This record gives sequence, structure tokens and C-alpha cells, in this order.
Amino acid sequence: MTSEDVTLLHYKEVLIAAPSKGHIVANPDICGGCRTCEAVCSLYKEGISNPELARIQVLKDELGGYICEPMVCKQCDDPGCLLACPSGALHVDGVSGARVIDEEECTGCKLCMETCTATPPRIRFNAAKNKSFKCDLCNGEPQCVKFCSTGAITFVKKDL
Amino acid sequence: MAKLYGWVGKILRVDLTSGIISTVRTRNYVPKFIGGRGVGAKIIWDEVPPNIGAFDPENRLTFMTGPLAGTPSPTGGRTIVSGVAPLGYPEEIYLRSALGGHWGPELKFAGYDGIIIQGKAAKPVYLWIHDGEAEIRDARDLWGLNTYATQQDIWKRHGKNAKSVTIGPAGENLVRLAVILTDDSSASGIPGYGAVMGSKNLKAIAVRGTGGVEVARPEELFDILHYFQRLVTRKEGEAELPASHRGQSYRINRYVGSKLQELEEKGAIRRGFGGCFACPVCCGLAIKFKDGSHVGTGNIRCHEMTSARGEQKYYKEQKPFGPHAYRTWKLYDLLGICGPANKGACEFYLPLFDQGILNEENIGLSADQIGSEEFYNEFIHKIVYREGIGDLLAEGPGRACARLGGKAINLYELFALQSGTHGGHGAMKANKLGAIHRITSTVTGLDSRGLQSHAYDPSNSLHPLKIPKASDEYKKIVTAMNEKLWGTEKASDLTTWECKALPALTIQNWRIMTDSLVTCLFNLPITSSTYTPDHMGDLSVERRLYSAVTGIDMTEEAWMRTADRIYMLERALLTRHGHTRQNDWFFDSVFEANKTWLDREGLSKSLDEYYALRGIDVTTGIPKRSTFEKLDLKDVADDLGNKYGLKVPA
Repeated sequence: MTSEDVTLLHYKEVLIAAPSKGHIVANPDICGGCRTCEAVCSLYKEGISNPELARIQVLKDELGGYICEPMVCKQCDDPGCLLACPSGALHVDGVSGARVIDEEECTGCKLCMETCTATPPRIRFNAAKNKSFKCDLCNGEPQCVKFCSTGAITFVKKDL
Repeated sequence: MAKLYGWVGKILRVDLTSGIISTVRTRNYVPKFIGGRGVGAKIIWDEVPPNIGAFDPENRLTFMTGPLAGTPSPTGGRTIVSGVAPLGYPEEIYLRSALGGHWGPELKFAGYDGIIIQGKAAKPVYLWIHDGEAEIRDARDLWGLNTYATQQDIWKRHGKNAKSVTIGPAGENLVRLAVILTDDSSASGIPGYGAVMGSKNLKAIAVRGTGGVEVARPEELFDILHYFQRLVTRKEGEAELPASHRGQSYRINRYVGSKLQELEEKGAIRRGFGGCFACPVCCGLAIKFKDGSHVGTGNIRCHEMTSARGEQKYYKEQKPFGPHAYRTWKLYDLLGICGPANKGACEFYLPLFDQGILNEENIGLSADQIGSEEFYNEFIHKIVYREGIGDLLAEGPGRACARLGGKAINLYELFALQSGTHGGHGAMKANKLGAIHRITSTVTGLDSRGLQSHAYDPSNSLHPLKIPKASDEYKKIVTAMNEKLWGTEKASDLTTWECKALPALTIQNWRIMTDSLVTCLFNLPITSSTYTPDHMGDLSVERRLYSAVTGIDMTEEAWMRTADRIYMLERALLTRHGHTRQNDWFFDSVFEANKTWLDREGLSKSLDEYYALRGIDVTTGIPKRSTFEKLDLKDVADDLGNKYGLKVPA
């Protein structure tokens, strides 16, 4: 099956995306806010350690009682981002089922970011490249989860 | 010239007198001195002659990250602060201190490996550094604010992602115990560098960067990170149990854990966890109360340590101390003063009340008030704002006790331990290895940290449920570890002087390298592991992290030679201040107080052995010229002779 095959399905007359085979779940209660996930993600995906380019972000308030909250993409069943993408760059990955952006096809219009229901949007923007980027679940083995030492982020597979 | 990986290439120089901001190439100092502690020492050696005092504008205050900062290398985000330190006693002297948090990596993301601060601003200022630019800004409206209010004000100006190091009123008032603080409680503590910032009219350094750190061999780095997890921080559910007692469970199990856990289970509090950049341990802990208030208790090394080790008689709460003590200790962080910090300076003054040296008459507080929140409030404020006798106490234990005289001097000696000019203080591990390690360390009190866990009490690494400390297996592991590391199990026998110099030197060298990378001693080096079949660790991990990040391969021999080089440079800094064999010694009162195990003759022989291993002249305690030359420090030996008129032994 190619990615085009599974991107959109007709279900009970409604156009929906094929569900993701899993998603990352965050537990803010035990997150220490060390941001290893940000460093690992950017190094793995972009070849440079730079939190600005990480698909995952940790929102923090150290002075507010060590509030640390990993911001993860839920790989929504009803992905507004995907449906909003005018270029077809946002699609469902054939292997992981993640909602992913084909960088070559992205026009940098940011419609996906505006549609994302999460705050802040789980899709970020690389101004240097004029492209949006988001979590693609690293082919089903998210590196941020692998290297999170506290277990604050876990990968939950969906029974399909 | 080969491209730099790991280091971002530039060090920022800010002259607060002239307002001139420039950059220095990091390449001038690396890879020879690695980063952090090594580069800091080199800059002070080059730029600050020994006649410069801590508060002279010519003094430098350096903030140095290392090649690992900003990468996912475990705990690699720390920063070393160095310069001539206010707490040096009897003379101000070169020292160093580390701080964690997220400031160092942010500095690298902004394009700088470090900062050199020199000169003195005419009025209060702060530095605003963002993506390759730096500005000196007016801070008159920040002056007087506590460390949290300062950070919060900076967020209002520059956004919540700006990271700052700040001083509180203690630094502004040149209190020699003043810290430089970032985040909730990561602080450069003991040397009193907060007062150096105060003397330069520098309130804060705020940083924001959107760049990155390049890694030479990312795949190799990921492999090492995975290996590190297998060796140190296994997670529940993905590995054989028990999961690591580091990670979040580490925080729960140790020190205050049980008491706070109990309170949480009763619903009285909630806990929050915090960690420095890329740290798998995340030892920071906050307590959230039912009324919505909260208090960060700091990272495990300071407040939690005191919670476990502080003396019961100085607190109204029962040990391990709970919310009241924590609220009290928070004042130290807010006002920017080195507080309990494992026998820290303020805590040192408490026994002076017991002795009646501090009393109702001279400080307006008496021994029977000790322990209440009111007492600590009053006491800390008097020091920070230099009220009454607080003015004297603000000068630090050495200077204060010299003036108070009498019994105070004895108390000070037992606190400082080491005679002669030095800057550290803090506990010595009370055994023969601890003694030789302590007197030969270049910054006394700070350097004893980690010694125990790396050599003879690896309970930080060995899981208490799997290998209990009292078990025979534990003892066997310690013996085997010592035999493997130093060729004889005698090293782990703390009742003999045999084979103590070599372990002391080796452990110092490990620490030099981790301080230069800059990582935290809670994790590296890995001398033992819960998860290997023979429970031995792997000492190559930090070297391999360095190689994967920088692309520079080093043999173990070259690695240790680099550590030798940095030690010898620090030793030269002390030598330049007149440090000789006499300074590598304890006060008489220390021998007296520890006479059950500490003897002069044995210590002296061990010191001879240590000097021979290091290449230091046994008679004078001055490093030999041949040693300097072997370590590629010929220029340092030349300077000691020509510039500073010292006789360097051949």
C-alpha cells in the first residue's frame, strides 16, 4: 500500500483520514523538563541539535512549581491539518499511519498550523526553509520516547 | 582548518567599562583545554595576574560551556564559572564553580561557547544576548529585585524562552557568599561569584538563541546514548526490573523522598519534578501545597542534602525536613546567597549560636530561637543586607571568624579543614582517601563531591533493592571495582594509606574531564552499574560522547593526559599565588579532631606518593618544569619563572 492509498477513506459518506497506528502520550506529572526529547528529535530529523527544529516541545515554568508539559502531536483521527493542506503535502504515512508533511510539496502556507486544535500548534514552521514540519513518529519508533529517561512520554499503539 | 563540531566557535567578550563587545575564537583554547573548567582556567591564567582582587574591575568572570552543551549528551548542559573569588581566604584566589539549568545550552544556541566579563559598568546593567548579538542594557529598575523577580521581569522584556543567570540582593551588596542563580535553584554557589557580578554592576545575563549545535557523528552519538541508558537509566517496562533508581524514581527513593511521598499520598501536597538540560536524572523537586502555593526545593545537591543531613537541633520540624524548612531555604535562593548547600556557609554560622559567640546582644537572636521561620528570616536578612553584625558575617566564615576570635577560629578551622589560602569549604570524606584527595584538590570543598560514589560507596549506581548496601555482594563489587581500577583491592580499604594517592589522582582527573565537557558527577564517570553481569561500569563513555560530538578521537592515555594538563594549569594558578606544599595540609585542629584515623606521618607519605605520580616537586609542592613541558605547558612554566619570579624545579 502506498501512502496515497491510505490518506483518505470514505466512511459512512464522510471523508476521513486512515487512523494512525499509534501516537505519543505525555505525562506532565513525571516530566522533568530536561528537553532531551527536543535535542534528540532535532538531531535525528534535522541533523543538528536545535530545540527550535524539534517536533516535540516542552513547555516549562520552573518558577511556577516545576511545571513541565511535553507538547506532542496526537495524530488526530480527525486531522484538520491534513484536510486543510491545499498542496497535498500533508498525508498519512503508509507505515506508521502518522500524519506527515512531505517537505518538497509543502508551500509554507501555514494553513495546517492554523487548523491545529492544540495550543501551541503541534506543527511548527522552519522560516529558513519556508516549510512547516511536524512529528512523523520516526517510522513507528519515536526517538524522543526511546531516549526519555523518566518515561514521561510513551508511544501508545492503537489496536486497529 | 577542520570544521568545529560541538563547540559553536566563538566566545563573547564584554568589557563593561568601555562598553566594547567583541568575540574571541574558541579555537584558541580547544581542543587543548576541552571547555568548561579547562578553558576557564586558561583564560584566567592568561588575563588575570595574581595581584588582581575579586572586586577589581580587571578581574574576569568567565562562563564556559563545553562541547557537549546543547546536544542530547546526558547532563552535558552545565556551565563552569571561574575568576578570582571573593570567598578565597585569607586571600582572594582563583576558583571555579558550576551551574546547571538550561542557560548554557541556550548560550550555545545563541552562537557562543562562553562569555568573558571584564571591567565595571558605571550603573547597573544587564546583558541581553540573542542569536549572535549582545547588548548592554540598563538594569537600574532591576537592581534590588530578588533572583526570581529578575528572571520574571526579563521574561516580560524578552519572552518566556529567554534564560537568565541573575544575582539577588546578596550579590549587589557584595556578600562573599552570593551566588549566581538560574531557573529555580541552579546556582554557582560556593566561591561567591554573585558578588563579583555585583561589583561589576551586572545584574543578569539573559540569553535567547534559535540556532543549533552541530554533531560530528550523530548516529554514533545515538548509539552511545542508548548504551548509557542500558548501563545507567533503565526504564520500567522496557527492561529487566528493577528499573533504575535514577530517573524519577531516584528522586522518590532518596533523601526527602519518603516524607514527601507520605505527604503526597495523604493528599497534603503534590510534587513537581525538574531537570537540567538533557539530564536523565532530573533531581529538581518542587512541593505544591493545597492552598495553591508552591516551593521549589532545589536540586538534590543542596536543599535536599540538607534535608537529609542537616542537624535536627537547628530545625523545628522532624527529619527529614518538610515544607517549613523548605520555605525557609527558599529565601537563600531568592536573595541569592549560598545557603544550606551541604554544610554551606550560612549553615556554618549556626554552631556559633550554640557557643554563645553569636547571641541576643550582638545579633539580636539567640540559640533557643533557632529553627523557626522567623529566626531564619531575620538571620538571612541581616547577612544579605549587611545589618549590624550581619555585615561581618557577610564577609564569609574565614574573615568573620578571624574577627570574632576565640572559639570561632577553631570552629572555622574544622569547617575549612585546609590551612593556607584556599577558597573551598564543605565536608571532607572522613577517611584516608578523602584526606589525600582533599588536600591535593585545586578547589578544596567542591572537589570532594563524587569521590565516595566513584571509589568506595557506589550506592548512587547500584540499585538498593537489587544490591543492598549492607550486602556481601555490595562489598564484593566495591573490592572488585577497586582492583580493576587500581590494580589492588587495597584501594578500597580505607584504613590503610596503601594505594590512596593513585585513586585520589585518578578520581580528580575524571572530575576534571567531566567538569570540562561539562557534565554532572551524578552520572559520569560510570564506575559501576546495576545492570552489567559483573556490575562494573564503563569509563570510556564520556570520552566516546566527546568523540562522537566533536569528531575528535582520543585514546584513554591522551584523555588522561588532557586531565593532567588542566590539573597542572590550575596548580600553576595556585602556585602563582604562593601555594606550596605547606598549603596542601590540614589545620592542626583537624588532625586533633580526627586522630582516630588521620595521622600526619601517613598523610605526608601519601602526599609524597601523590606528588611523584603527578610530577610535582616533593619538597616544594611546585610542579616540575619537565612536567609542564610533557603536558604541552612550556609557556606556563616560562611565565612562572620569568613573569612571576618563581623558581620552577627542573
